[in-house]
Amino acid sequence: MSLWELVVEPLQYTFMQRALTAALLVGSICAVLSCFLLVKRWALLGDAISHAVLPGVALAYLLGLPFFVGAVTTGILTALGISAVERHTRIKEDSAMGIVFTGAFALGFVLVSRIRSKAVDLFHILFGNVLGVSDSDLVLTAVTGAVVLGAVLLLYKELVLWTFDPVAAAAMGLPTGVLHYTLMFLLSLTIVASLQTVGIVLVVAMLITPGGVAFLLTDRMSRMLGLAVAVGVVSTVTGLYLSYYLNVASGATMVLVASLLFCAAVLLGPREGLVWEWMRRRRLAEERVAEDFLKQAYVLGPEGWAPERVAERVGLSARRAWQLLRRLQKAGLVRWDGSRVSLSEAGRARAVELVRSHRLWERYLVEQAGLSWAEVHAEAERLEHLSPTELAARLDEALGHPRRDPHGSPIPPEVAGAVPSVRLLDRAPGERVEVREVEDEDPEVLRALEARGVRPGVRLEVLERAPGGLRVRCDGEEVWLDAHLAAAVYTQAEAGSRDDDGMSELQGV
Amino acid sequence: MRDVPAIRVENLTVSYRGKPAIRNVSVVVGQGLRVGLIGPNGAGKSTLLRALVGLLVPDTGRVELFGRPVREARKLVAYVPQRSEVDWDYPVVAEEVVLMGRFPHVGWVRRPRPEDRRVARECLRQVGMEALAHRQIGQLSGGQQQRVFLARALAQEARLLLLDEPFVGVDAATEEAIYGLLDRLREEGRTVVVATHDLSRAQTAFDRLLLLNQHVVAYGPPAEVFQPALLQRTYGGRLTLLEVADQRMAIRP
Repeated sequence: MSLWELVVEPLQYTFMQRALTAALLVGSICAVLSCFLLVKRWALLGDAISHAVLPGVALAYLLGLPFFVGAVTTGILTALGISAVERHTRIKEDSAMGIVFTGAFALGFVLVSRIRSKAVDLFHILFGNVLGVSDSDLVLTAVTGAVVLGAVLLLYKELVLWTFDPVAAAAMGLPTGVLHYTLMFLLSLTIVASLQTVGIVLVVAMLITPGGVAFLLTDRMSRMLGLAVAVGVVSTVTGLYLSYYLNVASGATMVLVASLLFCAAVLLGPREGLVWEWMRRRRLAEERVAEDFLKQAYVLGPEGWAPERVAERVGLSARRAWQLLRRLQKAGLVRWDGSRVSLSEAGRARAVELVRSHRLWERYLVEQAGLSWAEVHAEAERLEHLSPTELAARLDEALGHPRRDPHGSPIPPEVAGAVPSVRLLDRAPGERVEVREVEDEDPEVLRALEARGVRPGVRLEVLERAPGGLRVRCDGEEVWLDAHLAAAVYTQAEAGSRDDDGMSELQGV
Repeated sequence: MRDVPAIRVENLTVSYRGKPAIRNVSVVVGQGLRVGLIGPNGAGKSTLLRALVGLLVPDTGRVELFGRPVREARKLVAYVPQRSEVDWDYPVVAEEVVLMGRFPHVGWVRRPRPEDRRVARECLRQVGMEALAHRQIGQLSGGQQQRVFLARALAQEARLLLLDEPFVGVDAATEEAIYGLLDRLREEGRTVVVATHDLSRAQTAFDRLLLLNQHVVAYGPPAEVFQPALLQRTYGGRLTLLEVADQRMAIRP
């Protein structure tokens, strides 16, 4: 069966033709009102009024009046009752609604249970019976729809001004009280007109959800109205067909479709869609990993390295590392000769920028923000990715063009000197050295070194080497350094002056 | 119409939440003046402004704007509250907010005409916000939001503008935009009343000052009214005044 046949086939039945018309009407009327209920925060009022029509329907039956009259009357009375409770007692709006509408609903329930007639089918009032829509129901819905849509079209400008800024509306002479009751009246009409289609309990969904979906998709009331109508109509019509083919309750199916559309809007909405947000975060994270990869490739040195070695330092799995390597190669940032990865000119420039920004931030955080040198590496790891070149230039300026970071590493364009630094751990007893640089990855190591007075620029004399570490003289005091501490310290022969000579087998950033 | 005062208030007493907020206020403001409304918190500045646009009903006394009762003068007055209490998530962009100011001119049921849209756009330009015309209102900064509401007041093309504390919580750019606007409005012969705390510029930015503390302490040109004794009475002695050369600087405790 083709899609067209699926759509047309049910329409051979008159009841389905009527049902479809009712679905279209109710879907669009409710949707239009839902936009105003949403911005006016009247969603619960819709709930309240919808429940309050039940006693009206029952009373109308008892008095032999059209049920429409009874429903609209009790709907409006409830709305007024809520306002009265709110105004004359200390009860707030939400509780006032709860108290009044449950009372009215209970009254309706009692009346219906007393009647016990087939003419008033409680289940149909509560949950709708779109397949049982009569011609007179349809006329009623159409007339109501025309009244509601006409009123909203005519008063659109006024309703928007009033719902957006009631104070300004009043100051411009708009009768806000009249608008308030007009909207309540339209709401009551709509609910009554929707009874047959979705029922008392579910009409609330059609009065909230379409507006909710549209609200997530646009910034303008005019577009919101159009989108809401689309959502409302799609929900009721799709729901109707689904209920026909799956043989399930039609009102509830319509609401379910609307709920699914809402979920889709939450996940995929162009502005706040969770999926896009998630993808954006992922892209940012990818970008950071790529930058870290370039930086580590730079820090390891210009001769090129096995990609596994770089990946390990960034903390990437082998598979992710290969993907990343290919991407960076395509972007012209790295070169790959089959065994070694090295930076292209562009890649190197980007890496230098990152290292420079990182080390400037470290310096800034220690000097200006008063952080300890043990804490700053992790902070700078984040900040380096967020700092455009101009910002780094400003930092550089503010710090007076520093040449080294707090751990002694050179800040590009400053480069390591020609004479390589030697790890303190590899120095022999009797050697006098100057601390040049300290690995900054491990805050514990930095804190331990700080406690022992070991920092860049300090002179040390190696006194003794033992299996577990070194004993050194530092500032006239004898200090014991465990091997893992001594391994983090890079030194120069003492004779060298601060800035002209070199380093480094730099292992940290 | 030219010779009637913009505002005539006689013996106005207005209660706010059951308590009298201003008592027996009488003042006559001529057309085309920039009036600074000065007084401590709780002095009734907002109450007076709200009574002038008919948002509060007086207990006693009378308000006339351009010789007419407030009801008949709606087209002539625009009011910008201290901080508009609107839903900032409302699906409306800056331009549409300004267009709302055209309501008194468009009238019931009718759609805004191209002319109204042109005025709205021009008013946005005057407050330096035309570049953000299509930005949703909640996505603007506090100062930018304030400027949009100012533009809406301008779009009303009112002859009297009432601004309640427009300088509170705004950035320097907005502050300058507002002061610039005051000058331009005076050139156009429009009357502006501004409730403000900014005493440092009160002497230069306004043609008249109205010192209010529930009742009118003084009303007149700054040179006459901006006097230590009067200011002390307005602020109930809670004010420290420093005299620096010729210029008086007022510092609130």
